[in-house]
Amino acid sequence: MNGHLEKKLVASCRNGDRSAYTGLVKAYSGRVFGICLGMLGNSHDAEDVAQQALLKGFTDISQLRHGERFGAWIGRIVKNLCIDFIRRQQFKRNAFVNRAEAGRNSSKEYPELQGALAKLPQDSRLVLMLYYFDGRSTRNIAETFETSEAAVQTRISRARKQLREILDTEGGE
Amino acid sequence: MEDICRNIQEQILELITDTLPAEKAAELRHHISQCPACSKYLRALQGDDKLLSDFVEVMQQTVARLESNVIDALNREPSEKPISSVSIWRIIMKSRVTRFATATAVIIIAVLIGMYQFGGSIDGATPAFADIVRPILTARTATFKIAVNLIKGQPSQVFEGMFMEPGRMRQEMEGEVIAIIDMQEGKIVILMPEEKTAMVMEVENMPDENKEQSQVNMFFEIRRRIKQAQDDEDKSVEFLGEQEIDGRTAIGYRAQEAGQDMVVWADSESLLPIRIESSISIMMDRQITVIMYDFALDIELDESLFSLEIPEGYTVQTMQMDVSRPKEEDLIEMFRLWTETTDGRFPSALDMNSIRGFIEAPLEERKEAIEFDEDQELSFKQVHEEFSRISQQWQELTLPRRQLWEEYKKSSEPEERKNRLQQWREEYKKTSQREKELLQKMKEMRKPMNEAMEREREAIKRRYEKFDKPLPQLVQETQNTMTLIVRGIMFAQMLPADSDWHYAGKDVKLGDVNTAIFWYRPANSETYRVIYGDLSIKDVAPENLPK
Repeated sequence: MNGHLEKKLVASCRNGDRSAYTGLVKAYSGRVFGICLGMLGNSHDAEDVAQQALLKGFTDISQLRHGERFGAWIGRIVKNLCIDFIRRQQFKRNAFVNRAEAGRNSSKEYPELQGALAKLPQDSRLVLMLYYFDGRSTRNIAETFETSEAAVQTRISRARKQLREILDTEGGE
Repeated sequence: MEDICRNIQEQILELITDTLPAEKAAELRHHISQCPACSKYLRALQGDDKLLSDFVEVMQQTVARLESNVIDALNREPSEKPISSVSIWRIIMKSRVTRFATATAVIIIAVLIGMYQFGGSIDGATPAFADIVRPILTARTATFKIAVNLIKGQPSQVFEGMFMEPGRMRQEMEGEVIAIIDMQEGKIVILMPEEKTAMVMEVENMPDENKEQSQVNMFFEIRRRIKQAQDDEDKSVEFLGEQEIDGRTAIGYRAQEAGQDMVVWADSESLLPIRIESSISIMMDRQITVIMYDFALDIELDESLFSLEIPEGYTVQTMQMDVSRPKEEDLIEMFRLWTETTDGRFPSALDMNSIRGFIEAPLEERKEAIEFDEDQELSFKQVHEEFSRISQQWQELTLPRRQLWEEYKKSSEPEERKNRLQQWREEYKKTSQREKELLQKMKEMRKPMNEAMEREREAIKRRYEKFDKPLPQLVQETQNTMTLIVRGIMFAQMLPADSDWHYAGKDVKLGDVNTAIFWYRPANSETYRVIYGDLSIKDVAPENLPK
């Protein structure tokens, strides 16, 4: 989304125009979900936290000073909520529950791939999910991580390599 | 692998993302065309890329649902925003363990209530309705899907259901939990393949005449409701006309029973069922809906699907469920357990809806002693009320402007758009100062509100810890508790009308020796049995009963 339009939508949201926020939700839901999936590793929790993050984006939008920076700002909200969620999950110490949760949370779609993604280091999984869920744009990821595109490219390559190694070990091609 | 290939494979990663300079890319391609190892690596990476893309494509459904949920939530009033509250049911359903324990509680309640509820004959039915429900009533076998929705606005849980005469049912949830219910045998077997755990509930003391009428079996429950709708002249069966459902022309009937709807949609030509939408009265939440669809009737099903034998290697836990006719002692035991669990309070009523209150009691915020300071609680309440008041003012103040904006967006005429925009600007000018003040106030309040919400979340988390125990233990505890509760309530529910039973326990605290909470007249008795707030019992003459 171009910065000018983004700025206008954010300004309308500040004026209480909920429909303007719909535009932002549609533009950023993939990115938000990608971050959650990357950080949390399962789609059920990712969906929940992504929903919380997008709603929090609306209620807190008056705190966003530069409307054209909505992408990076919502990215920070998502990351913080994911961290908060992970902390809360650690609270559940009982191994049985954790095992049961892990079982429940594995979606039936592409089990081998999901299994391999779960074995990736969190930062690699995150960059990979963000890349695929947010239009394969290294620029968007650079914006989210507030880093350079070159650094993002390196991280994606590393993540792809790690994923290949895991799939190879597991017998994938 | 040669070192040169190792280096090249590093660069292949860049090649597939088109980030290599053209000259370098050409060199690389040349090498790959000559080198089987590098060529294989490139193909593997391209395969990974496709796999990831396909996975993301599939997950787009989730993203679309996410968008729609967020947009729905935004369109609600501010006080309804899901962010501001944590749903008890959401917490239950998020944990496989608590979800399973809750599901078990539901099965137990269903078995117990099912023992005492009876269907009728199918004679005298509304003819057209009878035509469309006949296949359901007469099917020897059936398969179908069951979507159970516990929380409005959240995705449903989908089960695969199978039915086979006489009275056998298999329910499967994503291969995680399989329940086989056979009331003729008086057994419910619950298998959890992942944990290799089985739970066997043996139903004891069940009267023979109840075996076929138990509504524990969801298919039977639908049959029972259909029969009831057909039999009862006071209940209306309403024709809903034709509708397109799953690409087929369907005719529908609505049957109402005790304020709850059941809608049956059947193919307009074959009259075979397409979809049955129902609510189940035994569940603890009034928003629970059950939709059965994808029916296949009278097909070959293997008997082994309904086998009560436990597969090898499973850990088995057996429990007994007493379903004999409840007695007065059951009512006393229920009162005792209820008051122990709810800080000395008696149920507000003796009906099945109150069970919901009991199940939620240990979970629900503020219902038990938590580390909330009373002053803090009060101040939160005040802040919340004030916040709602200001929020309402903000809504009212900005309503005309928001309407103008909507009209502006809808309008396609340039002149009209211009006018609307101008009106919007004027309205904005008029209201912006006041709006700023209101928003500032709301902003100032948000901090204490968020802090209070965080305390609520923490309190719920502490409660959640109670469920942090092995599943068999949790299920056993659930079974013990729910059996006592349901039997106690059923004792009252099953008393005949001439027993003149009364319940007056609402707002009474345990230990109140002078307050009668329940009384009834046993069959052929001159006096009444009266239960007091301290759970003592006396025989009392009619003239000395509480007024």
